[in-house]
Amino acid sequence: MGRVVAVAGALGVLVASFLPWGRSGGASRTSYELVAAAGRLEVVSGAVAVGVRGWYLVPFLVACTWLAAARRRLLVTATLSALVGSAAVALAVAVKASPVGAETGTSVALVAGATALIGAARSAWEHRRQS
Amino acid sequence: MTDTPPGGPQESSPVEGQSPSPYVRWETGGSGRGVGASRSRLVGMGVGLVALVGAGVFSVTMLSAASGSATAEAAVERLFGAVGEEDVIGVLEALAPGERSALRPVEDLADELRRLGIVSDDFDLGAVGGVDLQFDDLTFETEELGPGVAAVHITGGTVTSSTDPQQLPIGPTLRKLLGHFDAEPDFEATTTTEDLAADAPMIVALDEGDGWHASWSYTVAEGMRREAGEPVPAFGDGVEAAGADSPEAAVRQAVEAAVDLDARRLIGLVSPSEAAALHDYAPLFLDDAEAAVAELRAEVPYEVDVTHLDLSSETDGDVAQVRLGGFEASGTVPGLGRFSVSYDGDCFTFEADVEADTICAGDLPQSGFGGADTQMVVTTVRDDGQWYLSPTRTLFQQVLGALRALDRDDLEDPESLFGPFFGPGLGSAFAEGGDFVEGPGNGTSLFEGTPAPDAAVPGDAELLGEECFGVFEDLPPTAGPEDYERAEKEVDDCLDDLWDD
Repeated sequence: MGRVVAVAGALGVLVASFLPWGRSGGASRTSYELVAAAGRLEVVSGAVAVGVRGWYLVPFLVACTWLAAARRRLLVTATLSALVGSAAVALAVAVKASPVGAETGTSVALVAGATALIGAARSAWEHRRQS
Repeated sequence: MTDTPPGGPQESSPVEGQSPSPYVRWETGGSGRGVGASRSRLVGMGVGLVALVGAGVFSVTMLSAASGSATAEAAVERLFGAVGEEDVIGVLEALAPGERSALRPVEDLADELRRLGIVSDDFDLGAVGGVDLQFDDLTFETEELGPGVAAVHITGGTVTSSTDPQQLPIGPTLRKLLGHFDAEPDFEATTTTEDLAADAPMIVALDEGDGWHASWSYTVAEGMRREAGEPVPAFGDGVEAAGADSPEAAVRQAVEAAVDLDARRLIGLVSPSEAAALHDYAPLFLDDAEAAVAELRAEVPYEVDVTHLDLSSETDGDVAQVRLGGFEASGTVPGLGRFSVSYDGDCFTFEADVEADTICAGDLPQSGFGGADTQMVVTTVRDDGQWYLSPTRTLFQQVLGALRALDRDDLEDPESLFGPFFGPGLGSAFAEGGDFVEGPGNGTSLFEGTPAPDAAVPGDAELLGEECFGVFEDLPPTAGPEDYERAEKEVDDCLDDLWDD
């Protein structure tokens, strides 16, 4: 059950990442385009900038979550989905708090990220029960 | 029924001759559910592996993507597209990196304008109401100026501009000020379309190794070069950037260069990423400038020595604000003899053979700007380990400093704000309920109505060219921007004729 919820949440984050996240004038941007813009415009710097660029790894992490769940590696699934969920929630909150007009993708990412975190907690609990 | 081993139930197939282990759950080939589960898991893992590879390629592609466009034309087209969509982020991304970082205080400026009520509370840089631009069917022609520098000429296309005064983000304070002068925009919404090929505007684009970006500074410099008829400079071979080890050292060296009229050194101290155009185009005028300085020194052999500079800095990452707390300088100037001038943060003291004077901040007319930080602040930036002057950021900080000293009440009482600068006569121009009329015989007042207490100005003067401005009064209520442009030209011609007379 935990694996299913974790993977569902991670997939939800993946889908959300390609939806419109922010609007500037008449132009909408996906999460990846916003992250790229934030880097180019030096909105973030230092360790935060490095962390934000890590968002590009989300599809890779989601694929790893899927594989770990397929292999029934509960702890790995929990760790990866927690990472994906935390990143999604953090970035969505940051975009909503920014001057950029937040769009649908941020809300979907918040829900999906929370789902991934719940799945991570459940998977970790199930792993602990088994061991 | 088997007991569950500590590690969970194990799966295995039965081996011939081997007794079934109590810890093993037998999966038989006759159980379709077990085979189906294995197959679906294999499929799932296969999908996951494919997704993993695809995601890996995606991540690497995004991490290594260039920030600029593939060609100079694409960079300029990107800029126009962003302008047309009022996409501030897109406009900044389309600009050269060194120039865009210097424009970051624009958001702070917008915040101050909102706070002061000059623009409306819902003013958004990303969606400015009342003005829309749309570019269609743009065609370009690229002219290479040098390695990584190209002039992109707009050879075709149209720009449609729509203006709606009702949608303009005019804040309550500005609206009140405009009402003072009966200058509120009351023209009707208009839409005009112009053929860009007629003027063939040009935008210069740069490729600094990360794709092509548009550059406003190179565009301005190249436009000036063409007007002056100068040859194309050797890009990358201009004035060498030579920064300083610290923000204070950069400002100190700039002051010394300014005193020595050493333009080359001064330009070398300007940020090479922000003002690359200045470095590249300076050789076109530096020789003439240095010759003029040499001639001046020969005619006026002055000597100035800055003996003391009180500088302090606040650093935030690669940007530092350098404050001038005081200075002392002395020297000799023909006609003046020996002189010394000093500033201690409050008072300027000037001493010379012929005169001496001291002026302090408290001696100056007090206005709403009185709360502004009166210290000179120069913004410096660190570029490749060296500190340089940042003219754009310095200008922004000075403007922001002045705005931050104000509040809405100051702007809603413009007489107290501007009167100390213009004197009692013109100060009364901002009095409530004024009309634009000829002044009384014993003084000058731009307004009649409620006179200011000290409205009288010695002398007998009339306002020159007052009759020229009557053309605005003849404009109908439905007059649009073109009508105002035509009226402005008539006023300019009228004033020129008066001056000639």
